[in-house]
Amino acid sequence: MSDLLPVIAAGFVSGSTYALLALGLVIIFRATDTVNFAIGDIATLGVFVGLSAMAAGASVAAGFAVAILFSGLFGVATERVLIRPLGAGHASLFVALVVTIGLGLLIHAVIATIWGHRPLAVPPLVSGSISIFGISLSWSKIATSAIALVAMAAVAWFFRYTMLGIQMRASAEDHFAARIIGLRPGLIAALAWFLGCALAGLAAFFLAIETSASAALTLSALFRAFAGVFLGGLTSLPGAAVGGFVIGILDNVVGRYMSANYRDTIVFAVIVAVLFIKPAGFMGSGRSARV
Amino acid sequence: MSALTRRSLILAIGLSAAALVSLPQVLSSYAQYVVASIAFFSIAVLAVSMLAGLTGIWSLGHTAFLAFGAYLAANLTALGLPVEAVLVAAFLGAGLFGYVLGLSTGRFSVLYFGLLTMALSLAASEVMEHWVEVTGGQQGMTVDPPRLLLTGASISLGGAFVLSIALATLVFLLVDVVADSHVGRGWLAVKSQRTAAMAIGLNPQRENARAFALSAAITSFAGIGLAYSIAYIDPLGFGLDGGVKLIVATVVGGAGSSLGALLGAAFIVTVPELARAVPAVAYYVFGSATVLILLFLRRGIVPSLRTLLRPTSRAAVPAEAVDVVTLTALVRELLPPASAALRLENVSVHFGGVKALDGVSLVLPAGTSIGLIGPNGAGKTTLLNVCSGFYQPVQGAVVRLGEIDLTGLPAYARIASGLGRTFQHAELFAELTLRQTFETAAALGAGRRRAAGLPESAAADVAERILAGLGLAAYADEFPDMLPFGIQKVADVGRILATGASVIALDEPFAGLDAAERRAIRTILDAMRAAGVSILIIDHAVQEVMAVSDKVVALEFGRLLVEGDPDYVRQHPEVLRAYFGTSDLSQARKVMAS
Repeated sequence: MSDLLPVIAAGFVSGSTYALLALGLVIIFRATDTVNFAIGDIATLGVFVGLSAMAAGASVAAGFAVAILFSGLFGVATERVLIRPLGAGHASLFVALVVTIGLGLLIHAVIATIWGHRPLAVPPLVSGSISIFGISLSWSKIATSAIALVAMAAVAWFFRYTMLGIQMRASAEDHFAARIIGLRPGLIAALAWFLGCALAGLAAFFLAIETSASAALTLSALFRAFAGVFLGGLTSLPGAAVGGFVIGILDNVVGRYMSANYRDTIVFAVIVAVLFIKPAGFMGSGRSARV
Repeated sequence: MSALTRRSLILAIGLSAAALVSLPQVLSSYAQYVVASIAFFSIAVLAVSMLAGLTGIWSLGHTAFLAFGAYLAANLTALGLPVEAVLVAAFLGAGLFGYVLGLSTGRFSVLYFGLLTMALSLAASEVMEHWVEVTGGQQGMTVDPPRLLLTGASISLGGAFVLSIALATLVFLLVDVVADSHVGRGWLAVKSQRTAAMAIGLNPQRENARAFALSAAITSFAGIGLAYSIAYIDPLGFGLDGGVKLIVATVVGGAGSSLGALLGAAFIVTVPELARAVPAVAYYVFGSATVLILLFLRRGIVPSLRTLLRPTSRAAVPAEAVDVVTLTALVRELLPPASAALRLENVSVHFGGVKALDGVSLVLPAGTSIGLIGPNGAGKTTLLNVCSGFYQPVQGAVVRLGEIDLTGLPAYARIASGLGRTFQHAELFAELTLRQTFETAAALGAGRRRAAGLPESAAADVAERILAGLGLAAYADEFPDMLPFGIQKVADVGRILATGASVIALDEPFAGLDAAERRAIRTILDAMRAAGVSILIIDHAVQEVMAVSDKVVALEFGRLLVEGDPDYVRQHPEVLRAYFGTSDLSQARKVMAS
């Protein structure tokens, strides 16, 4: 068990990307009742656009910014063009989900057409590594985790202290009442999709630095983000973030000490067991039916 | 389309496909393979589509059951077992697993459940990749030609194509029969109005589990057809991509439509085959088809076309007046007389800090009627929800029907002891016509009527007679959202007649009705009393309540204010104060009496 600490540290690093994706999913779900399956593909597209910007001469930092901005704006467009016309309500919940699945397929095809099937390498934001307590960590990983934590803190601050953030929370509680008191649902939905997809863009960029950019970049990370969302509850922002980190650590611990071959199966078995005890997740709120 | 036409059509399509595949020189061997692929994929698409259409559950994980069938076929055939044994083993295995999984829908919302099926697909992929002894791992495994017990001989690849088509035909027939039965209607009822479905005795968790079990079981048949028709299987075909393709096919064809499932299967099979040269094309087509169809033909191609082709609804017909004599006879035939008293003692319900009910006790002797009155917020509906099991009273309460302790019984189990209810907002099943609603409820109530020694008649007859008796014949085949509210309320009362309840709680049956509809409800209530049914009625129409009640109970702020015979309560100063908030009782009495 001497390598437990590095395993946990690695889990924390991968957990930070899961947490970002999970946070993106929850922000969008709370605002528009849509489970956005395309969030990973939108973010991947953002990374490729960022890479193209770099290839055209932009600095790494500028390409990074382009990736995030593009992801966010693509999210806004998606909500406006594909999700809003479906209308609100319980019946369109699954319809919206399936629409985002369709969008994901389309983006997949677009990426294959424009950038081909060969994975592209992504330069790290910083290079070199450092040894802490005998654990070797690359500066890149430290930087990505730090940026992820800062982004999460910024999101927390935004929802807690800014007028717009408070309006978004109010709207998430009750869309109808929010309309009545004059909150603009279109603006809130657009903002939520921007934030959610931009956070995913951040996560996708970090993933691309770790591996390389390909159409399937976020696939397995998105699964783990969903697992994190289950764990924390589909309606809770802190729950999603904590859930993402927990999954990252759990995933690494299971892979190291139990079975590298069946890590997904074991992780999801744990989630299902947890959900049987707390069906709405640890921090989510259950919605009960009206009688 | 009648059931017979539909089933003949399924058989005809199946037979012609089989002929196409087995006659030499009609199709190239490649085209034969495409037809067989459409056949086995149509089974899987139908399984997903039926589940989504009848229960509202969307599964992304059905490839797991597809894989289960395929690997089971490969392994059992290698052991020398015949096709028939493989079919039975797959059906039972996948069905059992599906049932257990489906039970968890009681714990999770439909959304969570859908996402969990995705996890199932993921876990299944891992097992396929790593359990090498059974699955051959990433390399996959070849499938031996299957042996048919029926003929005793092994079948060729061409025979496997025919087998796939035969399985598809069989499954389409099976699903058609189930969807058209009381079981399938019950699933629709649970999907469209969970609360009311529980009130007529459907256990949502069990119904969803049954539907999921059937869906999983038939999907394994698709896997068997696939394994034998391709003769080689590997994990790639059963990944999440496969699950997404099944969803795409369901959406394109239209959830819940058999013809749509066939169309969807043809779509997902032929598009990649036609676009073999350029792999991204299939993704473009799948993606844009999904998005465009959901944006513009929300319910998929087949159901949307059907709506377009159906004649538009006629002008509203007024409900026919009810005939007192026939109705009284009908109610007597459908509802067994109550044999036990409903007893509530010390019932309290708290919502956070609010005491909606505070120590209320009440006895409803068999065959009598009690009217519950009181201002808004008095706790009337809460009390009714305690009786029907939707709210749990605080510890120490007694809720009994004769010898039966109701407190521990879930809502859907209470009708079994004869306790039924109606709803303030009718809460009809949006996806069932009135006739189907009455038939479904009548099928659930048949046992109760038999036990009480009432004349037995088929569910269809019961529905027909309720429609005629309540003057609803003109609306028999309409869906509730097309009907005026008053008609919906009458239909809700009709539904309770079909269930064969003997103690009936009615939540504001008169609210929102016009004079003719009120008369109809009054007639039914009188008929119920004449039939010996116990009645608990809530309404703000105090005059109506007084007229049908043996005893009236007035509630205020969750407490029992006054109880007694109608005249006593009508005159009671406390009741007048509660309603009018005035001390000038002479004036209040005048209003109350008018």
